[in-house]
Amino acid sequence: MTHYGCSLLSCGVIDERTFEMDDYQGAVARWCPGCGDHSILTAVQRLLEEEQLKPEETVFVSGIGCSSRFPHYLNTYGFHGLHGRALPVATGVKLERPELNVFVVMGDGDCCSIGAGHWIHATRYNVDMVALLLDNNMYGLTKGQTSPTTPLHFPSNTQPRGTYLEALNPVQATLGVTNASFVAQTAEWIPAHLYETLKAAYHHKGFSFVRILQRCPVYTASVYDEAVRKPDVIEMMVHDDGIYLPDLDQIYKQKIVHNPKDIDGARRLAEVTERVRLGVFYRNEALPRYEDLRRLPAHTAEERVRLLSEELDRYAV
Amino acid sequence: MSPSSRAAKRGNGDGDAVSARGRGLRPREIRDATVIRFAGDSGDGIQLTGSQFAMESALAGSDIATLPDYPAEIRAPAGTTYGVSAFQVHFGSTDIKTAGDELDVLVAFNPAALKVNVQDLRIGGMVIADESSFTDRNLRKADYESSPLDDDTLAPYQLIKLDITRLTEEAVKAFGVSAKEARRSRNLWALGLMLWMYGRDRKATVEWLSQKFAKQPDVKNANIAALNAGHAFGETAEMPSDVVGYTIAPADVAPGLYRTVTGTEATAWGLLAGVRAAGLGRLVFGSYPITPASPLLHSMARLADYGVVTFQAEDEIAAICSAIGASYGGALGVTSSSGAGVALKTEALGLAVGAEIPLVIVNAQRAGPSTGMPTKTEQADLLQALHGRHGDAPLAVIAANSPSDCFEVAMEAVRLATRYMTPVIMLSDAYLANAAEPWAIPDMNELPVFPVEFRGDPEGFHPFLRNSETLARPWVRPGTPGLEHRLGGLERSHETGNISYDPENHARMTEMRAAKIAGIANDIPLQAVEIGREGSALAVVGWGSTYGPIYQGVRRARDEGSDVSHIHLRYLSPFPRNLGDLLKSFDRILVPEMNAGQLVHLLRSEYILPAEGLNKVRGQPFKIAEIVEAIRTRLGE
Repeated sequence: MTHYGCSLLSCGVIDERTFEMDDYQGAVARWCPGCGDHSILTAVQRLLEEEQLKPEETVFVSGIGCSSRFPHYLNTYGFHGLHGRALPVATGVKLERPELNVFVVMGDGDCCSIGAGHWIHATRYNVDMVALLLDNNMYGLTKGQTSPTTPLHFPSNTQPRGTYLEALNPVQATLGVTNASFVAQTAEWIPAHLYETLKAAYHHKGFSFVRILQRCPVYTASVYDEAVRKPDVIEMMVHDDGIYLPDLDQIYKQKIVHNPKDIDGARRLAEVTERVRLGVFYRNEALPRYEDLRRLPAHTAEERVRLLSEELDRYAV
Repeated sequence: MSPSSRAAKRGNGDGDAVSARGRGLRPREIRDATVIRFAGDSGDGIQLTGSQFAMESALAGSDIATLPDYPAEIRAPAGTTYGVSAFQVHFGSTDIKTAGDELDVLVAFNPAALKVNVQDLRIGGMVIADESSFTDRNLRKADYESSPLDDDTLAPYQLIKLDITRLTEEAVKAFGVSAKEARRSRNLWALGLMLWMYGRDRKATVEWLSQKFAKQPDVKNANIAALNAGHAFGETAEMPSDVVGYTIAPADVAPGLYRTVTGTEATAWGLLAGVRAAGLGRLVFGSYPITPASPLLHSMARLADYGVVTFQAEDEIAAICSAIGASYGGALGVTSSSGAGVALKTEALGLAVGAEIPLVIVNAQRAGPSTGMPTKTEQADLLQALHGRHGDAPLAVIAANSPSDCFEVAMEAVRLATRYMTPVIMLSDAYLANAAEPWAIPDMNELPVFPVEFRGDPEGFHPFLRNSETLARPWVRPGTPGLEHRLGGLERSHETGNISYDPENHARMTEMRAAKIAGIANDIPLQAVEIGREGSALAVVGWGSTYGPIYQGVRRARDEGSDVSHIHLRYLSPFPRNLGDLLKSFDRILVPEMNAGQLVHLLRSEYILPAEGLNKVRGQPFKIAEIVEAIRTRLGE
């Protein structure tokens, strides 16, 4: 084998480095002032620091869109690929490097429109990674076109009289996919909840899908206005195995106890109502992960010889 | 049963009677080479019969080339012309480079098989037909108004009609198999007869049957009995008096360990050998099923023990994107498809060019556009490979010229991809993917090595810092401290590797990407003349799977005194650096291609040459005779 750039870990040296927030700081974020992505970036940096994830062993993969600039703002490895194709790129990284911490950052156009096929299949593969859907209900970078999650009747440049179709519900869709193992929803304007949700997603072994409700001050400022101003619109799904932040009780009084093991309850709670539900809808670590299914025990020497003989017999001349 | 022979003309007239071998009752004639095609319903076991015949021939020391021709339908309605499956074997004592122009023998199991294939039989060639299949019903399905076995349809040929079905049933009835099963053995009866006719052994086939049907002794014994009965039928002179057996001397091939190989298998092993030569731990193969590329995914899936990870992706786009992700991770990412699927991958190809990611894309071309003729061969994706991307996005393109050549070309694709940090498109086609030929198994210790150096030093690093010789950017494995970097589709500063919209920089990076690919010309062999000489009256210039027919055609024309040469290109982007001067030395240039004129277009525009195309878009390889005829016309002979 050729020389691989060796990580301190693989070289057997005891790694005594500790990482501060600044160690994860990449380029200066160029999102608009007031954009929810800033708060998400901060929460992610906090997670990296709290978990002391080594920058060199962490990879952020994104698609195309405002939120997909994410990797540039972190001093980790990163891949800013194609519109809608973050998930297959991330799958490829994990096929080669299952030991890396892989995070995928997608927007609603990315994940739910042009990349929807990958979203379904990545959920089913259940590769161990964190997939963040930064959902601002609109195409931002291309300047205000209706996305699959734009609320009904909300106007845009492409549908000026208002969106004709009911919005797609990403949580419901993900919960409907075979082998979905972790589905959660949080909001960027509640940093404590956002952080706890990211942490739960990071610690889940499998494909962790988190929809983050994200405000866009330019195109969809009014969409979450009510949820931001009236905490009673929010219903916290709480459970000891899910997320429960007693500190938030004073503000968010609407609570429902939901066990993340309960898939039927999760699907019911995911249905659209007047309430915006935050928390872990579903979590199941018993579901098979693609990389484990494909990491079969190596054949023994005898088995290899037998397989080789069979192979050669097939074509013997 | 009274086999009759209708045609008087027989053979090429070049066979001298020699004394019979063993207890054969009639003398055998000598042949240099023969082309046989087995044809029947897709359920008749045709591919198996043909492969076994090819194997026995190879064991007897013949050089061989085979061409399977199967319908797109898995089980098309029985007896129909579109359900006909065929397998062609060209074997002989001479240097065999193609599956053969014209058939010497056609074994037809039903009227539809006769109808579809008889046009390829040479005048005077032999038809062996199972007459019990020529029922009114089957004749109607094949659109015959009356039986071609009883009218003048087959007058130009030597017809041998045999009730193969009944002869098989008789041979196997002792084994208590059902009539249906008995009927399924008739391909082996016919195989036995053909093995007799060409003096081939049956041992390997008997062993193979014994293994395959080890758990069904009745079926095994019935099949072996059918095989032996067909052989005995020839041996005991039940054949018409003017049908004799033939002797074909062993081919003069270099000593070594050989096996048959299809282009698909050779590609799979070449990719793996390339990854080993590059010192990489893993090959990640992301692919999506498409004819005729799918067998490559099958072959790769069998190599899991050797560091191959296969990913059957949800679509073509995910397939290439997963390969890109894997290459970013430090493996070699490979993806494969056929033209229509490659079209879906092109956005990601642009990304791999921009991000300068090592990647191999194998395109097993088929007849297009769109779904076209998925099981038929064509080489019409050359311009797609060179130019089928958005933006100025150059990459390397190389093509294999025979099934065994796929091994070397696949290795070369890995070398170029890893050395130049670029996507490399390897062009093969439906013919190469399916065709088989003997392959001298190389000594693994003598294969080239081209170890990859991953960057580990953070000093002065940026992701687009170029190697001054190759212009390649460094390859860094995630996990390397201090070299954290971001890649993607956005334009980068050539000085810092950061995102840059600077106009001067974009122009510079565009030139740099082009110069990197152009520079590969300094790292590949000069273009050689395959046969003939520089500066002759005519150069026949080809690429890809047309190698066999062009080589044989030029050789034949030269034997007849024509001043013609053969040049065959492996490197299509960039071209070898001497190609222009070499081509300019010839009076005329003829470019045969299985497309409407793509290489000819490139040569004309690149070198301002009056090159002329010879184009065939019939989903079938060129015939040698077509090449010879074109040479004669061009040389005014």
